Amino acid sequence: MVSALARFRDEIADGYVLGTVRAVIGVLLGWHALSAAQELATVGYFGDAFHTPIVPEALVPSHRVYAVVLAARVCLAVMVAIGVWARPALALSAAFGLWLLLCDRNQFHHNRYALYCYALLLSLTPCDRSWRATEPSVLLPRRGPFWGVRLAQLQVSLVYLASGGSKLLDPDWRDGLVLADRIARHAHLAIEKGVPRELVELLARVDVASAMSKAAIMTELAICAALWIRSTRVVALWWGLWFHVAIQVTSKVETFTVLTLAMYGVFVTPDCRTRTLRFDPSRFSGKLAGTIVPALDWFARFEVEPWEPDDQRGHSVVVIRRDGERSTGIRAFAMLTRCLPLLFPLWAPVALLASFTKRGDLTTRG
Amino acid sequence: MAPAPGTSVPCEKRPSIRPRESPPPHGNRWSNVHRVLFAAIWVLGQLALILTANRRVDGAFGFRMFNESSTIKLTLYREIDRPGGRERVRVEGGAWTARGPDGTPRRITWYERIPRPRWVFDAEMHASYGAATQLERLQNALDYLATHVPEDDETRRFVLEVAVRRNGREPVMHRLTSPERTTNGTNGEHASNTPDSQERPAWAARDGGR
Repeated sequence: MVSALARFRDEIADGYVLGTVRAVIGVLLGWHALSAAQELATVGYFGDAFHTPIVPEALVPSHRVYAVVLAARVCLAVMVAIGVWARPALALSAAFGLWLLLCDRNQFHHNRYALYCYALLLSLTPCDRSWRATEPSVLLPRRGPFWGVRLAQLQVSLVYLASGGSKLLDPDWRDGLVLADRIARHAHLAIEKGVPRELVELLARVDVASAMSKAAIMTELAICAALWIRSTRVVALWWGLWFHVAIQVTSKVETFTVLTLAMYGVFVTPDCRTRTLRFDPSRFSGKLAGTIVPALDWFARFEVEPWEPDDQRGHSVVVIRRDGERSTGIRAFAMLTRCLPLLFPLWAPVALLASFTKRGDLTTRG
Repeated sequence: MAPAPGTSVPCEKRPSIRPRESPPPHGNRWSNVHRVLFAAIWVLGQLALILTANRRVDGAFGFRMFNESSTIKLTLYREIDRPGGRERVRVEGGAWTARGPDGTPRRITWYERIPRPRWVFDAEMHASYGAATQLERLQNALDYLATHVPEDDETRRFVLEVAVRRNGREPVMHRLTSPERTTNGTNGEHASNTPDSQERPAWAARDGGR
């Protein structure tokens, strides 16, 4: 216990991957600030109408102060996104956001509260060392204290634990009543969008909805734990991604999906270009990989280098994994889907396919 | 094939524009204490908020996503004193016309005073954050409305009928009432608790999603 605490307190790691997370959080902070500004312009100042402050009314900002705070939030969000004084900007954004949440309970949303929690925790991490618009070069050293990252990871797990746990304790959720009613009420919308009527009717059946409810509860609780185990982490991230995509498609959750998927970035192994991708520039597919991979490699997983063309027959792309093993063909593609965020939704089926090759395996190593 | 000169430079080899020193591996004693203290307060605080979410009707700060699939249907009435006694008048679409303190008719809408949350009348809508949350917010809104329509010198009380369908069950009707208003032009006088408002804990207990 003491050694774990000491490890938590003293851990130093590479902060490159956090730059991506910070940039997305900056965009989300900006989106919420702009939405509030739009609402101020169209609906009016919330303090002039019905509102339910959690803090004393004296702490609710006046119309003018509120407008200034919104403008400041937009500026801070831009600073976070482009990496200028990013950490103080994150902390201030979180403070302003939490303050305004406490000023009107009617505007409270879990996803907004989660965003400000994550912003605050991210401000304690070395997230300002990469993804900087003003100084594109990576600051050296990129390494920094990682205790804030561990707290952010814990926060992600706590959200899953709270959400899954509360559903588990609710008989209506466990028995599928909540999900069945939800599906039944939105059935006409799904059918209008082209979902087969038979499928919608099947999903709305209480026994099917009950099974789906249990699967959803299990998913949240399993992800909460699996994110912490190295061998199950990538599976948890992949499953969680599709879980959130499904929620996004079927519900109105503001920016919660993007927020959670962005925060998955804090679980990326904190290293930089520890894998190598070699491509054959004389071949179209090799050239394509040499162009696309650096553009999509937001977490700096690959060192991308061309092979010098020769007359020997070889592969267009070779991925050299962390453990030194070389992968080609479908196994190399599986590695790319695992490491490039935009291709990550494809990872599990591609990895499964790759496992059937001669040197394939079903582990999550590499 | 032989490797050619690289096209991308490893991160470690990139020139640094503004090099910074990382903190020493063990930092100083105070910094270390603060880290552990902050982390402990944060985690314990979050756990406390999650575990006590039941005590807040909307479960705020408890991360209870999609806690219910309930719906509500609102019908607004206002009560007016007539020579023959008190009359209940249905308010269509949240807007009504009432006599002002100067005796002239005024057009008044719910949405001017209560633009958010965006409730709709006479149509079923999703009960965001659960039925109990909506009932409490509606009661607060009704109380607010009663004290914020000085141009209505006619309405003695607002009544809101809320048909709550909790997680697909049969609808249950709830009647929320505002405080009694005076009609001498000085709106906003709260009457003592009416029997209806005293019933509030009953619906909270009956419909409480958490």
